[in-house]
Amino acid sequence: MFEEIIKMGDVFMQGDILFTTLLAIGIASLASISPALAVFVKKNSENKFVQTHENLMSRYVIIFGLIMLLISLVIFINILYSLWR
Amino acid sequence: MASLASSHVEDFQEYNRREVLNKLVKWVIFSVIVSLLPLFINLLLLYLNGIYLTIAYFSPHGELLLISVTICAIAIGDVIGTGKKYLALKLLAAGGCVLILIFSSSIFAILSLGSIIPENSATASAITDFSLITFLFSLLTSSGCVYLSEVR
Repeated sequence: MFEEIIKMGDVFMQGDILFTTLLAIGIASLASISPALAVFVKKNSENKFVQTHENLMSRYVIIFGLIMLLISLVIFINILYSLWR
Repeated sequence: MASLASSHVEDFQEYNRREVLNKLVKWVIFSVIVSLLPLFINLLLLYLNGIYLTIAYFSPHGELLLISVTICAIAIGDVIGTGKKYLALKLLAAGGCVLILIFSSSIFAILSLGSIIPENSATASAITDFSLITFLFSLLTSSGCVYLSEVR
């Protein structure tokens, strides 16, 4: 079992697994940065629509972020499973 | 009267903006640059010993992944428990940060176990590239958390 785990590092650097992991990290980063961007836009915007529809905007950002986090998690679990196999 | 009130609001917003900027500058200097210092000193020593530096010397064993974990952990600590305003957005940002923290930790563990094998195909430059990109993503995420922690 220990040797199998050691081989995971070798397998990890080959092929598409590296790219897929970066993709998962990028999606998680996107999900995490979107709330800060939304608040930044709201605080620095002169647009009345953005300021009066703050709750609506927050709700959309939260739904978007949660979906992104879920996708990222699924990709990463898939990577770990393929490494284990 | 109304103009006085609006001027107070503008003053408050400006003050808060300045606080956010101060927090971000403090975070960059004392969290990001200080945590990168060991790697820079390592590069300096290599350079002084006459070694031709390439990007592969920067983080050949995935040290940047550990630094990413530290920076994400600091950002999570900053954003948790900073008031109820934008609570759901703060929790979402912290959740993304936790996910990147888990990714970085597990990948570092996998890579360090893989480096036990002498004939391992994982080259130093590939590990450095990967760590660098992960580090940049974690910087982006953590800066969002630090920003949200100061917004009131």
